[in-house]
Amino acid sequence: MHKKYALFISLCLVFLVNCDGERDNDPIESSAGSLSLTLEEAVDKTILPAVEEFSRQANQFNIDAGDFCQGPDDSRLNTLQQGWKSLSAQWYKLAIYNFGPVNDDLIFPRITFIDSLRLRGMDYTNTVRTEIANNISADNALDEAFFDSLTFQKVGLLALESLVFETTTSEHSNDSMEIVVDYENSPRKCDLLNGLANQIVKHATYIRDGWKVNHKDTGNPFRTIFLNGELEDGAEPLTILITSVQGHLDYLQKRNVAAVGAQIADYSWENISATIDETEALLNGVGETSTSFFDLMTSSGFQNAVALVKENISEVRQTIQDKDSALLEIALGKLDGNFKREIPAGLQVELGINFTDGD
Amino acid sequence: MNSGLDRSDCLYNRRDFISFLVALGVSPGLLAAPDVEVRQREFWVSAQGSRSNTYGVTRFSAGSNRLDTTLSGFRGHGASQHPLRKTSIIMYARRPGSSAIEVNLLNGNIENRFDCVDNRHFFGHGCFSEDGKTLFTTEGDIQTGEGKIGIRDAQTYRQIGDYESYGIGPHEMKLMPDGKTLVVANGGILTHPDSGRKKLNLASMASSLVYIDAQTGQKLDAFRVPEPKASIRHLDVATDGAVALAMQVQRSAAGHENTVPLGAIHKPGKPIQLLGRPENLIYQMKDYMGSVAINNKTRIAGFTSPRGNLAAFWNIDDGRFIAYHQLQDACGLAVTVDQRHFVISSSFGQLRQLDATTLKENKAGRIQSSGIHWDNHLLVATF
Repeated sequence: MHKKYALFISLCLVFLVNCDGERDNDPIESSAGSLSLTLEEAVDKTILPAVEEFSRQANQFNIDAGDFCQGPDDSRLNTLQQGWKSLSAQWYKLAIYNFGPVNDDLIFPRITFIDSLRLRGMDYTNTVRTEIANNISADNALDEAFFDSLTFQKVGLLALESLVFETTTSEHSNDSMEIVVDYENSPRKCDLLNGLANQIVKHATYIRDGWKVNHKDTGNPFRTIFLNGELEDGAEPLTILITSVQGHLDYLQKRNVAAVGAQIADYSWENISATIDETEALLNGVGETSTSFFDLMTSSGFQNAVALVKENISEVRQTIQDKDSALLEIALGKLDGNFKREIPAGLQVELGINFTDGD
Repeated sequence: MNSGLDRSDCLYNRRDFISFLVALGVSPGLLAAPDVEVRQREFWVSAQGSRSNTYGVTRFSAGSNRLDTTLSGFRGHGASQHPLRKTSIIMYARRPGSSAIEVNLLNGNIENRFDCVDNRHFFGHGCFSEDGKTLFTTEGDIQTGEGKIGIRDAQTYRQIGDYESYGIGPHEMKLMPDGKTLVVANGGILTHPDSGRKKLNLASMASSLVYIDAQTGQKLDAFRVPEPKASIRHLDVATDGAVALAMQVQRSAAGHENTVPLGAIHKPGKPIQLLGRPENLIYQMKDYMGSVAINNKTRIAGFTSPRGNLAAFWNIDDGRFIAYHQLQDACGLAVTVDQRHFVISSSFGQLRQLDATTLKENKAGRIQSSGIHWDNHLLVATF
């Protein structure tokens, strides 16, 4: 009887030990494995969709530009303008991932050929306007070789914004009818529109193919390289991701993008809002994500940090709603700081030694 | 130029192979086929650590692929090899620290420890006189803020005098090939230990490159760069006397957003030649170069930028940009004894070797050490 009792206890213990496996409703603990899983989900469910959507929007804009030039009218112009806005907002989502195919050439950064403002906050609106006016009055061939040869200051979203939202006259009118008439009077303006739209498609395709097919002739998609931790500069992928988002928030804040970006289309606030949407999606996860960076931080005891980040995101959103650039700068600074302190700490990510104070 | 995807494969395979050889009783140093003798006695040394309880001097033996750390008790910065006791290096405290130690490369023992005299602090660098009997250190006068060159007996480390540095914030300093002249980078930025690393004079800062007679302390010549908010911090000297300068721009005080050259070359009797191109690359360095090293064989100077996560290389004779190499938080930079490679270190524990002529990385030579955080500067020492 005593032996049977001991056997029963032993079986219970074995059962209990075996019950100590992972279950769906177990709290997620921060570990190398859970970080890898979260990073993979972030790539597949947030980053790659942003890459794909930018490519889709670029192609759609290119199609809309072609349609518009078949017969310029107010309706088609409106479609084109909405297309530019969608493309621009999508760029502000993708731009937080400023690494890999988006930025793989330090001397000629691709990102600047899409968004010239991103390089150092320099507004090239006058350069773009002059370039468009000169090319309309010139007689050189506006072929692919011509567009390939243009420097970053003359191309990208800003050039398309000028072409789509204003006339080439000295008044730079935003009136739709006048813009349509401008195109009817200057067929070369359509050549410019189509050529520059095609350039954006090329960049978007390069980025998409780099992430999904073959990055810099390595034979591997950047997704694989990134998730395997095989980045050429030796960086850890999560470090790169966090510093990239932080860098973009810093850029929005320091370069006063609300007051400088997308002024012709009057779309800067929507662009910044898109960045915040993407940042929140990255941290919080989207759709059927089984885990998120916020989840990991919470399970590691950093729930206060998560609450702080969420609070700062809300504060940024409020300043966007109020269109208050002074308070936006402050709010972006707080969120930027979260990516330097609370988020790396909560995910146990090292950002390196601080070499930045004058050694 | 840019590295590939075989980091871990190469590293593990190499390590496994080395382990196998060690098991057979073969010295791993013999793997370094050319210059075996030299490699056996070659050490790559740097301040290391990311927390106060891990600060130290870490040395990598190129011959045995072995890493060893000596705890220092303070965060170090630059280092110098002792000319008369070649198995020793001196590591100086990062500003505004006041300590330095002499470490034996063979056994890691701290042979000597010395401090600044009262009312002084170190700026993290120093150099020896030609005969090795005198040690010069860059220092700051705490009361006046003036830059000083401390003069010490290199046997006892007792301070025996000082010179003016002819500027504020003297940082890196080297002995010129004539053996008589010190070249000093006066950063121009006033700090005070009471306020830590806070910059107190950004509005009036004036950086300079100054040549000083090592025997008398007389100023022989002084040069400035056009951008008043560019702080000359680090330098290296070629065997023909060409000096490569690495700068840091105090952007908040600059009052403009123009890209400012961060590297420069100065040759005797000529004005400073700024390395201003490619502008986009310099922009990516984010106003900060952390180290500079000249390869005398190829006449190439390398400059690191941890903010830009890269090292960039220019020819020191014609100022031509040659190549760049991306490495996360790269800062330490040195040239191997045989002049065949540049070595770059990062705060993530990485050491990479670039062929000094092609500037292509020798990927098989990658060394990744977990828990190691290489600090600002890397010294190659041999004996």
